Amino acid sequence: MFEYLMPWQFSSWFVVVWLVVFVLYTINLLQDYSSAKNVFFYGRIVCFYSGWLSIYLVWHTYFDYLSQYMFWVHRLQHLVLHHIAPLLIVLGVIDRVADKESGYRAAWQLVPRFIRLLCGKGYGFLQNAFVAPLLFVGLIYLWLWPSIHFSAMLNQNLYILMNLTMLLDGLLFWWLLLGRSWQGEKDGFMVRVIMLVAVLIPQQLLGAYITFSQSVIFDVYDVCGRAWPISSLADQRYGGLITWIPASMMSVVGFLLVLRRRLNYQKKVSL
Amino acid sequence: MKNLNGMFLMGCLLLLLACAKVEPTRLTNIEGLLPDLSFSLMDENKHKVTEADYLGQTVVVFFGFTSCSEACPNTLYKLSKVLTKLGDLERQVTVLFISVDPKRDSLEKLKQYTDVFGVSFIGLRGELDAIKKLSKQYRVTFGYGDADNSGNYEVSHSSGAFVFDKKGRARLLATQGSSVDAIVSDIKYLINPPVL
Repeated sequence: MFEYLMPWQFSSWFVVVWLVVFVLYTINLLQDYSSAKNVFFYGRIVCFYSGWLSIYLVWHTYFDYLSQYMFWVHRLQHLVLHHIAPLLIVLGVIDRVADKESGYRAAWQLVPRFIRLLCGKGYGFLQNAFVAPLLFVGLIYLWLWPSIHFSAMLNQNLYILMNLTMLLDGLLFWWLLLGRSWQGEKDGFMVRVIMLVAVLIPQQLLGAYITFSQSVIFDVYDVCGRAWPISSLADQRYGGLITWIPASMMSVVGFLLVLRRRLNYQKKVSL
Repeated sequence: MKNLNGMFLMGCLLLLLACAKVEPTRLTNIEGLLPDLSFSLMDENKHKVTEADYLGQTVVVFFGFTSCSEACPNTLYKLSKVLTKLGDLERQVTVLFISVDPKRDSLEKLKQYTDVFGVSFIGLRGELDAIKKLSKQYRVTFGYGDADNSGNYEVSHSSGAFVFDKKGRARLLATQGSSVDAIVSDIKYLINPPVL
């Protein structure tokens, strides 16, 4: 069992970043440990640590080996990296960031103006209600474009770039959807719902297309071999189903979270 | 802000254009995608060999096993047709058949197997760990199915043939769908690249 948790391809930068995130979050958490706590407080902590842990499991263990040599495991890996883990992490940090927002803003002012401006522009571009869903779906389509997918699976650096962009984009998208005070609570609701529908439909179409395809679209797994004997079309169909159903269900989860947020807002307004 | 967005999009498009193939090859171009040829194994004549022994040759590498009923004999048969069509150039090409089933494939068995396809075909064998390491290097894998009553088992393995040029650089990938003519024309191109 333990051997399956060992790194398939050890990556020092991944481990460093992963541990730094853990340390920063934990320090932040310990600072408030004496304050009032409720079930949501603990819920969010669980969300964060499970998201954080799941990234390690799918990125740095034997699971990563399987993801490279089995299309459906690869789809599962991206489901975690793009949908599940980023959502859990965003849920885990929303309140922590909100509590300390003014402190972070003050610290940000210390960064040289040029860098601040550049980061601000880039962040503003990515956190745009039109760009973010386009990027969210666009990256799924891009990395599943047969010739690009082929190269990404064959080249170690492209492969890392693929997984990294999926994870970062996942964080950006869920952060935009559930992050604080974006465009005001009043106007943001409809846009958030439209964003969720906008990412839902193309994913379903792509998933269905892969599932029902009668020919092998992703031949790189035939070329490179599969982790265990399974027919190419069966592998592709399972992968298509994962792209189709659990991925669309994450939009439903997102919708429920946005709805809950809306209800909380309305309760606050009516008080 | 709008200018910045435009520039960003242009940048993305340029990056995509950079992915376009530049070489006039018909097989999949893998230049720069995989590392150079590098291994240390036993050949079918019981000699220890490394990539250095094949420098100066255009090398086709195929990962397979002798009990294979489909992909391996099909690919090797196709490659033997390629070599015949290459005529005099055949001497500049070596096909390395690396066994992913060292448990069943002895050196003798490998020699017997590859000799059926021609003198340019050489079987290579290594311990399981060495083969695993080598396959990882070329981003390919293999796996074993459950054994039946008589001890036979399925092996899933790579079906692609990797072509390395005279300097040992990974250049082309022939898949099951690649035609004999396409492989012949591309190997000719690698042996005698047009002078620009």
